[in-house]
Amino acid sequence: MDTFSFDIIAQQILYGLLMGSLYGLMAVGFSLIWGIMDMLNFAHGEFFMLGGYFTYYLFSILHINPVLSIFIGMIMIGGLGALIFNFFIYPINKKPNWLINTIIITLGVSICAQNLALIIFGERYKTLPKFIHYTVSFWGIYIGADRLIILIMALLLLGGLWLFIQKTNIGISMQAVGQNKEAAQIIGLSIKGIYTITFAVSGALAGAAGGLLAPIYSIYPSVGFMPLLMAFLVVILGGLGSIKGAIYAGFLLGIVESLAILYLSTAWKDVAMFALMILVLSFRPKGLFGTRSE
Amino acid sequence: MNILSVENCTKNFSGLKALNEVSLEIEKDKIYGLIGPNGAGKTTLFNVLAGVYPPDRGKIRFKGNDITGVTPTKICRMGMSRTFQVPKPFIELTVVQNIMVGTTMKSSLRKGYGKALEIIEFVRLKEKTDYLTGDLTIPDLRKLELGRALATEPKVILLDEAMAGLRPSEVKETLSLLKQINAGGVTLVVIEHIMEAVMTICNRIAVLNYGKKIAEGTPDQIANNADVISAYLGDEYVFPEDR
Amino acid sequence: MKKNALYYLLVIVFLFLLPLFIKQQYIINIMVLASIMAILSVSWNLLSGYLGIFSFGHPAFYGFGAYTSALLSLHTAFSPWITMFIGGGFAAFFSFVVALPTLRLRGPYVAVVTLAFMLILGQVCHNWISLTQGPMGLLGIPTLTNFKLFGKLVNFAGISRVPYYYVIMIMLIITMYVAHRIVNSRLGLHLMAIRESEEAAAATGVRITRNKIGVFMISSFFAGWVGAFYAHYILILTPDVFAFFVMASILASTLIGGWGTLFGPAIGAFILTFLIDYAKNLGDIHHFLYGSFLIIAILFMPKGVIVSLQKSFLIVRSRFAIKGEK
Repeated sequence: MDTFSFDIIAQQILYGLLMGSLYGLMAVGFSLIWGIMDMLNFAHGEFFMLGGYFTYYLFSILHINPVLSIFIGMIMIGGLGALIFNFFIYPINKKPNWLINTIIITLGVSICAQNLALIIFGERYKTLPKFIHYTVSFWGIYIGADRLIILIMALLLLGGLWLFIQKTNIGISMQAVGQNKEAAQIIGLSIKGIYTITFAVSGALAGAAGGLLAPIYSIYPSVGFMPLLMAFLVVILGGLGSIKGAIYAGFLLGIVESLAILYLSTAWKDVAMFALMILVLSFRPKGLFGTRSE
Repeated sequence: MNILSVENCTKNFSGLKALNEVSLEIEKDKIYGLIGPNGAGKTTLFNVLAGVYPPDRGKIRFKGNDITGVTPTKICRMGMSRTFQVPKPFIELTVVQNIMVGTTMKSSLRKGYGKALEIIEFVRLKEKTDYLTGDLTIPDLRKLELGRALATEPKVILLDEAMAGLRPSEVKETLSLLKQINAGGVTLVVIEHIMEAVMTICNRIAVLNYGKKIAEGTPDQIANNADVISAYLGDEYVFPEDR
Repeated sequence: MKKNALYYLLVIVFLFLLPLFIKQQYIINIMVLASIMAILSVSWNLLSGYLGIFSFGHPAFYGFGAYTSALLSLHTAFSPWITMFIGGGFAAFFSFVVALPTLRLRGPYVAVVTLAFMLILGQVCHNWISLTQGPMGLLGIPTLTNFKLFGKLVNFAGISRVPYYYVIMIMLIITMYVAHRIVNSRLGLHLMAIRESEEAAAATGVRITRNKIGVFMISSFFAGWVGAFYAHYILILTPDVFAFFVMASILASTLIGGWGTLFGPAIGAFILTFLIDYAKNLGDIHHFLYGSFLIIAILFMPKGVIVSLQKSFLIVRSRFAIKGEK
């Protein structure tokens, strides 16, 4: 086990926080769909991927300000999420075997989306050029200004989402549907409406994560695979039904991962994290902060 | 001889004492009633007896053996079966297949099929033998629950509100079935809210309230017991001479 | 019942006679691959269709058996015939480990845990280069050992794939037979009971844990066994055997053929393999078609995924009906 200087460790932790915030964005969206709609959205990674592509094209082709690009991309992906829900998920709402059906159909959407992206965008990696060449430093740690902006935007989005879920009528309605679908219907909530919003919000967050990550990493058709797995991991660690849990677990995982990169090799970090997930599920089926086990 | 005994059982759920040092002795071949207001702990007691979860304190004895903490599967195989308050049929299976799950516990498929048909006839579900249970009405589902409980040839059956939601004629029919089952050497423990049914059929009744046993005795004794009346209707309804 | 047996016999005879009038190795190869997928799908369906446990672990056991057999036959004196069974056995043993955490979990969580195992195994295989050669591929896997049959040499190392064809057909028949015996026995009934309501099944005396683990292991044995076969057929292994693609193929086969039926997944596997092969001629778009198929199948199947095992149990029912009811 190597020892590293405080600077390097702190640097990695900051990096971990950055990645963690993005994992949180992915996880929260995934958790919303799982918690409110009782399904696993295997196309979640593709929302991420498309968000990345949209941001890329908005910025590099249309030369729209990158921050604005991310927001526009977010809204577009949100709309896409609503459409996908409407055409692929809602029609099978009344059929039995909901879980199996939704797993398979979202897998299908995922495969189609990846291959469409391959055909339309090509297989070459797209990288967003840096738009701010400025480095901020404090306490001996250096961070590019663009990464700092990304971190701040991610935090704002997470905070905004939390407020949305906890304080707005729609957010509370979403929680209600998640906890008791029948009762929510009795008091007049539209399940279709809530589900649509859930999908849209989930997609928007994933799309934002993709757009935010685009300047750091490249975008390619199958880039969504790892973010999807990260979403799984974070939601399970943080516990289903807890937005805060997802956010905390996201940061935790980001830091654990960045330290693992430092101390172990990159290749084994995934194994370590999946093993961690299995362990957590074995001993605490509700996750670390979970409120529900189903 | 007491075939089933509950010894000082306590069960907590996040601080709420669902069962508070409850003790019962259930005699073989009798019909034992368990009543009490909603939330008194009756189903909790059944779940403890059936092995769904162990009591936090206390013991359960079945045929003299300590079965505290034994799994539901094992307890069923030892000879105690149960019905569920909300029926849990095997939805994608037919009625006969539902019963066969139990009759094939120790028998072959063929013998199990034959036994299942007999049980279906006994509980008066014959016309629905090959129906998918997802299509059954509540009275039929109750019969199915009873049939499934009989399928494993138990010595004790725990019946959790087996007559809830039935019309008086159906209640009568069920009572007659229960008497026949009991006459055949099966001990019954019955949770029920339908008082006439309980008073008619039970040899002995225990009353639970807020997790504690507040009375025990013959139907007559229970009907006149001040604590029982108070628990159900309130103090005002207790006759002075019963206090 | 007799009628069914006759049909099965006809199909078996047809399959065995096929190489006599189809001489193109290309088609024989597709039949072999289809049979592999059929075994995978039928064995998976035991776990997910009958027992109701949606497991992503099958590719893991498939790959595990493949690599185990390949490595054993490369580094020890055991013949591939034996290592195939060892591969299956090890896969079954490994599945015991996978099954344990899933026992107390429901629905989505089981899917996630088994997915995690699949990914872990894929990654381990990818990283442990000294053992598996990782993505560069494990090469030089021995073919199945030749033997003499009625005085003639059965040659697995030659150009003709026909010997492999017969081997996989026998494996397929064995798999189908075992599945048939399970499904039409009281074990099958108990499995379905667990699927419908674990709580009620336990209350009816069904041994939940034993059955779950048992089916997990049986199902995984077949995955590992056929994975081993695949290794000695293709003669090269890469971590791709652990890929999502295998899982998607299993799903698609099962969907095409019919979820809750015994033979459905096998028939679906054959149809799928031929379709995929045809679609490859269309170029890169065939992956997209794959995905669209999954979507369309779910959208338009009458009850979504049909978990109606009535039909397979009908065999039992009618057998007793004929013997004379009271």
